[in-house]
Amino acid sequence: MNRKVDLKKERFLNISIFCDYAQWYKFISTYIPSFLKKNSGIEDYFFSISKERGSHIRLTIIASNSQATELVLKIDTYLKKCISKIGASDTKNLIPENGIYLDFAPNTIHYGVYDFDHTNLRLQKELTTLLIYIFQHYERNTVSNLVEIFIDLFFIFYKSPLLTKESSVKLFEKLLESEYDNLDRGLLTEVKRTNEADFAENKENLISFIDQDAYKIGEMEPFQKQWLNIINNFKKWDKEKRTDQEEYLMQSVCDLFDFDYRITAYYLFVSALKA
Amino acid sequence: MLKKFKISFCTVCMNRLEHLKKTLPKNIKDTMTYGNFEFVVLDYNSKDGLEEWIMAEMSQYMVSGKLIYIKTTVPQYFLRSHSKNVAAKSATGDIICNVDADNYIGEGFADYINQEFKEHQNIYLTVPRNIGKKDCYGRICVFREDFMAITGYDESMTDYGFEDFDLLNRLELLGRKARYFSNSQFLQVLNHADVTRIENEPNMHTIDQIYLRYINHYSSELLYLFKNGMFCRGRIILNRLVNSESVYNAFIENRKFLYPTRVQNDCWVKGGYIKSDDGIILKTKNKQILFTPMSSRKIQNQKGEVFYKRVEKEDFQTWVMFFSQMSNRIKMEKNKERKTIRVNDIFGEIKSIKNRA
Repeated sequence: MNRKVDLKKERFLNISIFCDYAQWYKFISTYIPSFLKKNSGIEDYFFSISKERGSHIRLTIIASNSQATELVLKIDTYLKKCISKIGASDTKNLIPENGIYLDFAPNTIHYGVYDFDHTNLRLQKELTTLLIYIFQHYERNTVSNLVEIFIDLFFIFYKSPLLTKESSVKLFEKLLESEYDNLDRGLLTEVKRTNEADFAENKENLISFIDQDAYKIGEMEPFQKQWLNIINNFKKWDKEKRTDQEEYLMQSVCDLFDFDYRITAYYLFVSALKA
Repeated sequence: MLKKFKISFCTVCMNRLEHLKKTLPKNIKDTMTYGNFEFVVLDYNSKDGLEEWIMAEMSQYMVSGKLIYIKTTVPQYFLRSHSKNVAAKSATGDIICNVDADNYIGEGFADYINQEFKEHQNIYLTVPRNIGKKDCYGRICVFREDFMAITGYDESMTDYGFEDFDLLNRLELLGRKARYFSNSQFLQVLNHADVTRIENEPNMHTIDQIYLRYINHYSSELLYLFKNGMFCRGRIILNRLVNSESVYNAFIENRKFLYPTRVQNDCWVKGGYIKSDDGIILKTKNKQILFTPMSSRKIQNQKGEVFYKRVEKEDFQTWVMFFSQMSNRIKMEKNKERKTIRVNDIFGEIKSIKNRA
């Protein structure tokens, strides 16, 4: 069941931890879970990662109203200690390409920067668990392996009873088209050319990967099991009963990782399906 | 039966023929059954064939008195407030309703206006701000005598933004109360790019260069150089992030702001500038600041602070629009603070106006 949030009794504390993405796994797998376990007054918590205005982790804590201030002061002290543990960050150019303000400085903590979308808390919660498991599995290599990770997630979805080969092709083509729609003509041509080259280079591996049988439950990694759990249940968590639930799920999981290369992943996957 | 109010629907245009071709005939047809109305179209020196189109396609409405077409060939640029005042002063109705060229008013809107003004006293009609219909914010219906009492739109607001909110504020100061309408049938619009809102306005043509200096994650400095040798500079601030390093910013009540951004001290620093062999020298009453070129896209001041030139067309337009909006917002806030009701000494005046009716 989706939990009900009583905004009078509970507070959403939105915390942004700006640090190099190579350090994300330490916060997501170790530092933050350790804090969350040891402290009371935390009703729930959610993670996502983002590169918007500097690479950072978004941590939303739902806290009881009475303990929110104490909790946020505690976590501030704790996170600053963690930041000092990871050491100095590479000094990066903080000037955005076309932005209005400098990016946030690395190794800083900020509050109230974003608004948390609480329309489907249950899905958000399960996706948070997925994110933690993926970071636990891939550790510091998570970000550099995102295309492979996502193709793995797509494969599990494709092999689930929810989709057939035809409906998978339709779904991923639709997702791909909606991404193409966001690009201007010049960039679109370049992206399509790169996608084609990437596919040509990886065609055989991709086709043999997709042609294999579905994973056996007993052999699945925790993150793969968690993803399967989400696939099997996400429709019943969707109280809005969207007509495009599959698309919504795929976009939600891509957004969870602020996945830049989704266009490549969609293309590679759908091309391998059609080959 | 009570006599119906005469309603004047006023539309001002500078090179918006493509919009008007779609909206005006439909708007007139949708109002026909009401009877007691006129459409006033002010052609603010359009160069896109508006006059020819009106004469060829809309003359039957001019003959019947349902369309008043007036034209001026004087203005070089589109002056938003001034043009609306000219149109309103040419109107003969009891009620003036501004209709932007991209707006459809819908069937039954005139009856709705009449009914509202019959049933309620001391009112004006407007669109609520929370329904995501910003293209209809200009749709304001007001008694002609109230419009005249507040001297119409503030003509010091030459460019885009906030001139309609300012009008509403001053109607409130006059003792009028808002009645809101949100019926979607009255609020249909044509979609178009933002740039069409500002492409004929003075700032779009008089701003020569725009520079941006990055300060931190919540503030940057803007420098506008005008073709006439004047400059405006100011620090813009993203309100929500000013205290983002404080844990107290986690609580929504500590980051509630009327507007997401502001210009520091609510004013632009103004002065003149000259270009010399060494670079650009900004001059104010008390000091001079030299900016030396670092490259074709960067200049720096004596403190070594780097200013980046905004060169991409869309980016430039965005900053022009920002300047227009911020400048008008500052004026609006001043009018509100000083409780100013009448903002213009003279208003809606223009030479060489031709009424083609």
